[in-house]
Amino acid sequence: MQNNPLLQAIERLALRKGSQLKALGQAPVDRISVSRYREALGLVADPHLGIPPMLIAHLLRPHANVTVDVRPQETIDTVLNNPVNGGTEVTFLRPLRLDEIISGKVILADAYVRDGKSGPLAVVITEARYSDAQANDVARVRSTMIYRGAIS
Amino acid sequence: MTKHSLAIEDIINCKAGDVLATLTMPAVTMTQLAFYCAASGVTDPIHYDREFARRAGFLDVVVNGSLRVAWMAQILNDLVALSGFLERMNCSHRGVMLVGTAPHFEVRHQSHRSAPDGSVLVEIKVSVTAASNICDVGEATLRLMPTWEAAKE
Repeated sequence: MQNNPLLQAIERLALRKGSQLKALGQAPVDRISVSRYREALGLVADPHLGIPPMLIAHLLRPHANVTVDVRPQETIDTVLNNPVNGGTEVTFLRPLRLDEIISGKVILADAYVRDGKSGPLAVVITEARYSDAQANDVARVRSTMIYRGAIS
Repeated sequence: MTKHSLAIEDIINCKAGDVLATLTMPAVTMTQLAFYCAASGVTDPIHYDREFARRAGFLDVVVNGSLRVAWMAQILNDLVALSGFLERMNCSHRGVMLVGTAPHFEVRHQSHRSAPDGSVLVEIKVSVTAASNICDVGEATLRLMPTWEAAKE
């Protein structure tokens, strides 16, 4: 085991690859949430004019106990710090429908070390999977967080 | 947000690098960021508290990364709203976007191919600039359906 706390943290996380980090619960694609989200994007609030694709990443947030959204887990390992957002990849398997129920969970997709200009970087990828009432996947959001340091 | 919906005939003769769409949004306002923070449950004050953002080393309030992802998805979704759907998208943040700047989106064709069901898969690249700085880059796959009825199924 290396003495570098960042490398140690990644070794710990690598053992948890594929494991579920959080259950996000379930929520309806209700008209109020769609209206508020449309308005927040600068669109006309009427929910019948379409459901913004990225609503999926926010639908379950108010129902979760902790902060879970398109941002990766900022506290996935308490040792890792100084994070930067490394990007988001979303796969839309079908559009959302008004009033349907969506459930979600977050898994740890990957954790590895990459060389940076000033030393090793910890790359942590989480994946939020969203499904409908029939357990069919409707979307997946893969988020990458890069940690530039660790507390020793 | 976008006005024109892409169709298969629009892209069939496109080459890599051709511009498919551009859009400049109005300058981002504090009100808009407050609405977004309320709608999405964001509590980080750098997205709505000017003094806090300045103490944190930013010139002004910072536009949420997830809002930027949502705008990109919305613009691409609108681009195929009448002809297909947005199938996949990734977005990487390359710089900070501040309140008061007007994001400019440019969508470029990368490649396209026919699928067995008659649809056409279009690979595109997106770049977003604000105040002359590159803020976000993205790639996406759009699926264009041969008929309006197929697109609505």
